[in-house]
Amino acid sequence: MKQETLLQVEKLNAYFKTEDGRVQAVKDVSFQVKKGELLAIVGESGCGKSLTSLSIMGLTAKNCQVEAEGIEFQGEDLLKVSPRRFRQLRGKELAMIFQEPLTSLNPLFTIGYQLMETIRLHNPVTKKQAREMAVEVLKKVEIPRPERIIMEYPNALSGGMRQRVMIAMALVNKPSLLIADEPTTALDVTIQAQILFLMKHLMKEYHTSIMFITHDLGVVAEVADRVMVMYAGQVVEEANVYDLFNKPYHPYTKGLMDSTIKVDQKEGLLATISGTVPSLAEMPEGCRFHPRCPLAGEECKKACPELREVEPGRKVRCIHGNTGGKENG
Amino acid sequence: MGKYLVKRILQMIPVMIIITMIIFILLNVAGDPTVNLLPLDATEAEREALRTAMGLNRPLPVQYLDFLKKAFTGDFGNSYRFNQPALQLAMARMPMSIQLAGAALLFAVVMAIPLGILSAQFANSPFDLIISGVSVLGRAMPSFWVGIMLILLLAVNFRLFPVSGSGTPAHLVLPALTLSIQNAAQIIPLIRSNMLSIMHEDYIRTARSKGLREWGVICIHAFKNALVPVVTIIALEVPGLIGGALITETVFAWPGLGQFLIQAIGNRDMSVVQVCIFLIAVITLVANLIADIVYCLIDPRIRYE
Repeated sequence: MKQETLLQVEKLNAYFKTEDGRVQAVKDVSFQVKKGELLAIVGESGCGKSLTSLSIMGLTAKNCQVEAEGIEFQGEDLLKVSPRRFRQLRGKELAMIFQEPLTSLNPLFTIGYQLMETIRLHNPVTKKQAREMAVEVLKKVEIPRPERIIMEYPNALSGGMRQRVMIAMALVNKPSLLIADEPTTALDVTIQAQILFLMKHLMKEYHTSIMFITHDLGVVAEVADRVMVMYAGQVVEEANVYDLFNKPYHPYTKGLMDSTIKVDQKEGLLATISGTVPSLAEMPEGCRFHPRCPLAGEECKKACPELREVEPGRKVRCIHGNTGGKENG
Repeated sequence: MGKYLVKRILQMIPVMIIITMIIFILLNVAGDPTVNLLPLDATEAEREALRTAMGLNRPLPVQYLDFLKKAFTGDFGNSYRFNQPALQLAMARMPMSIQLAGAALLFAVVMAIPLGILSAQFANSPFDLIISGVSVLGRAMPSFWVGIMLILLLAVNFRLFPVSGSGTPAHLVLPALTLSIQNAAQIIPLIRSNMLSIMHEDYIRTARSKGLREWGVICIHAFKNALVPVVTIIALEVPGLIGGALITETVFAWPGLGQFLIQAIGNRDMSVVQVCIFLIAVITLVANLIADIVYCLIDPRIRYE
């Protein structure tokens, strides 16, 4: 089945201006999100996955500079649209859920106000209609007694409930693309499962594509259609979720999988990837992963390998190609 | 909220009693009022007779209880100088003081809020540096000097407002402006620093992600959060503006409570001093109470129950 492309990102680069000059946090990231698909972006903290999503939303901090050959969303280049047009898209066609449900809602405004604000910004409705829509969407995210909750302030709600409100706020205008930046990281495991299930369910109902950012491979396995693995600001592997978990090609992906705990694991230490993520200012020459890579050879230190398609729909940035990882399990 | 209010008002009673004690003790150590009341050549016997007549010879606790009992009914005794009830005299000055304080606060807030928001928005720009510099200057300039400069500039040179006195709204402008400059200079950096830290909060990013325009984000989502400390400053300033604006009141011959208090101290008019201090204390308590209520209204996280 050929799916239509919703978002096409070409060679996205993001830089931070610091006292020591400009450092690059995201390098030549290209990917696409298709209609109705859930793309997971995986990587350690600081690998540039959140910055990639904020760049698409146009919400990066002032000291951050974003360049790209194109960020094409529904036929419009987000880097070239007017600020006014971008505002019309944001919250309507492009919505985002953030990592911290506890701090992402304004503590001084009621849930109802914050929901109705999003509704009324993008829909010509009366206050009363907006209120009805707010109650309706809160029902969709399975919040009990929505008529009462809209009068509450965020501090009256638990983290899980607040994240449901955030989801409601993001989905109320039926966006084409929802960017979820670690939406379940701050929640405990049972709530996490509920939220994931809810998002998957609403994604089908609202025909929304999701770009799901996480560091948790368990979550990826649960929800994703396609996965993009990032390391040190670069895409290192891209594959559909079954292929990736069956046979990770990139040594980094393999390392990530080996370092998650498994139910049938025998005694002994959990495998780790030796070393730490290099800092932005001190990127190693050649392949950015080579100092930590068990397969690294001399040529890995010389040049950074290209991201190449090794099988249809499967890309990897490693000269060892599809021999990078062994058969899993 | 209702329960909290009742509790909060009941708490004010012991505070008031302690205040009356302090006022009473302060005035008893201040000296013998008969020295001022009688001619210089009065004999010791005459003084003694007056002291007995005024009840000043009784033990202090008895005098205090008597004072408290009368104070409770609003009787703080007569002014020695005007021979009229002291409370009545002081209360007659209150509308003028409240007028001046209200106008000064209004000017201060109207100046400080936009300037504070703008200097946060354009932090470290030349505009911000100028505003920050001016607010340091505003805090450093003594009010008597500011008052005189305003008189020279706006009343003498440009003849826009009367030099001093009271009676018309135009009379109010210069003293209110004098008082407001210092207040605004305190509020501006507060709003600026609050706004700067709030603009980095996650909920600001959420507001932007909804497609809200930047000024909407600033004026709705950020500003309300920056307001709580501003309310604190205003509550702290109100008693000073109503009862303590004596220098400005003197410069502009504004017949307010502060000026009245200074005159009473000069005359050793004990009951007037007592009543003025008492009123200022009451205003302080009420201002704090109102600030607490406003906190609750602004920020639902502040719950006192």
